[in-house]
Amino acid sequence: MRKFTTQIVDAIRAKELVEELIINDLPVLEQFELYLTGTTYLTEVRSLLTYIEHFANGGNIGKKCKILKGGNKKVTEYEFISKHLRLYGIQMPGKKLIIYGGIKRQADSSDNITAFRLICYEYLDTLNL
Amino acid sequence: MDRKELITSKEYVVGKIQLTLLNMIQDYMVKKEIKRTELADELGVTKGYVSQLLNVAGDHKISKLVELSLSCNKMPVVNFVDLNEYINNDALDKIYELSLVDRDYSTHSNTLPLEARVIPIASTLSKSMYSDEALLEPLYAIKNFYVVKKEAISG
Repeated sequence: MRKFTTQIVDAIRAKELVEELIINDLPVLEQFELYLTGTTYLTEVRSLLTYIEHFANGGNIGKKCKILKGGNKKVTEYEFISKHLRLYGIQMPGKKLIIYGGIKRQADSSDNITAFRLICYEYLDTLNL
Repeated sequence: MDRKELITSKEYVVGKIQLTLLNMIQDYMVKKEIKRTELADELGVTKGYVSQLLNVAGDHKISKLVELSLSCNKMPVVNFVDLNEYINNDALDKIYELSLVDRDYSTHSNTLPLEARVIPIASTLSKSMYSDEALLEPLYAIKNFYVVKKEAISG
């Protein structure tokens, strides 16, 4: 059983709180950045964080954010989109929580969505949601 | 990634400008109740370009950005602030917002009147500088105009 906690995303300052999930003491965003270190994709993480900040400030980010369908009905699931990367998060009361980040490998990002939901449901189970 | 690294990155600044542009265009579309095709016609751009705008993609030329803003009845107001000052203010949760102030005319009284600034230049004209007299005529006309104007003001 994985251990879950959350922490505020330092890079983002917005009206609404934005947090990232920590799985077994490893923050997901930090791990994602570490995974991308040395690649050209790292710049896209900055773009994604910019979109999330604008979104958390109540702005519209158009097609840079997609609300996922067919998942857990209790929470709204977001997919933040850049050219090659995807960040997945959910809407919790009063905050957005980033849960998973991945590289786009398939046209429909289904592999990333599966991985995201696996973590998401496990986390929500620990909260009894 | 820390806050400083993010806000001083090119992606952050470009992204913010793109999102502001997107929001302005979306507001305009809602206000005018028009769709992408109509917007493209109105702005005089292709449908593909409108898609680029609405998908927060593309690196726009300054002239295009201005053109789009003016078409949406908006005036872009560009400002530059010191980077360190920006970082410090951001850390204090202070953001930059446009404020309206009165235009400052206080320095006008310290500057010379226009005629005083022009006449010395015109008075330096001489035949030694210009061999063709016809070329000098319009310049002498300007000189005379300012002399007459100066007399009218002082008189």
